Amino acid sequence: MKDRWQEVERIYHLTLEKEASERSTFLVQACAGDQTLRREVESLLTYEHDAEGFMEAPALEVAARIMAGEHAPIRAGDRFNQYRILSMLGAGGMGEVYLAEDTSLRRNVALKFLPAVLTKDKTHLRRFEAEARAVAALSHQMSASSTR
Amino acid sequence: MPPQSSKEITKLLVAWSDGDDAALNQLAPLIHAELHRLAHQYMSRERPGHLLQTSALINEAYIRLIDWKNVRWQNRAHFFGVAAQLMRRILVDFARDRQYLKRGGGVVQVSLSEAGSFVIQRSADFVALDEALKALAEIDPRKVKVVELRFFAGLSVEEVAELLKVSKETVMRDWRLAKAWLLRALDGEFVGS
Repeated sequence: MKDRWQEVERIYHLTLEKEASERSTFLVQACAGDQTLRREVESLLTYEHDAEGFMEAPALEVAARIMAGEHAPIRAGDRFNQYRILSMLGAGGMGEVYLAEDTSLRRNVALKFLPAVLTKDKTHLRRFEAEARAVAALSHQMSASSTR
Repeated sequence: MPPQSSKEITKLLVAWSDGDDAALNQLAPLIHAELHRLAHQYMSRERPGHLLQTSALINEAYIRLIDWKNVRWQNRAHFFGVAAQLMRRILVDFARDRQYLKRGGGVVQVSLSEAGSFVIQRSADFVALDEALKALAEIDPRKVKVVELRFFAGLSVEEVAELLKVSKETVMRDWRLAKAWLLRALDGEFVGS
């Protein structure tokens, strides 16, 4: 198991040293027919780009921001579950809407974030859910809500 | 936080690393107090374009909590290792409590299939990350150390390299692969290796 992981690690870093256009060819050669190994390295490499900004802010900062009521501005590249924020579509008193990529289904969705103060009010929450249902029915785009 | 608090924290850290679990209960409020102070500063100071203050604020907070630079410790690596684990434990507990509060606070979670809508819990990430780190520890404990020291203790690549007695390049490679591995685990596509 340990040898296996060391092999994954070795090939992972070697592949990253190659030009992007040469990587897949190199990977096939380096894995010498071992499909499981190739898939494992390949799967890790797909997260390489997204992982760049991940955990770059210290944990204490993340926790303090959560405590501040999640008032930290949402930025492109931020992740919520499987969604990765691409850009802001609009904002108003009823929340903020962002264009995001659903990384598991590989498609773009609209994400709506409710202001925290609204989510405490059940009427607003119900209205928001109804809105989400309507949006889901109208298109195949998905709208997800969040308490901020 | 007055200087004696830093000393007090160091003492409690020693106790905790020696297996005194009760020390954690005394440490947690000190760290929570610092979190409150930071959170308050974010709320009052932060405007778009003022994000540069963040790293200074955070560095200051870590120094206030544990006087990193002046610590006299027979084994620095051990000290920072313990401090990082402590930070991880307390921040994960903090996130878990918050999730609990949220559930109890009447936030409705609508399942995806039901309405195409759900409530995303931002703080859940800490708890999920902790689980992913436990899984990573099974295959590569040093990478978990790197993550703890970098992310939870807020140390630089250079500092981590010095403490773990490895090269900066090794720390950077560990950090890079650990992040990709953890992100994949958080995506729920964890397959192990």
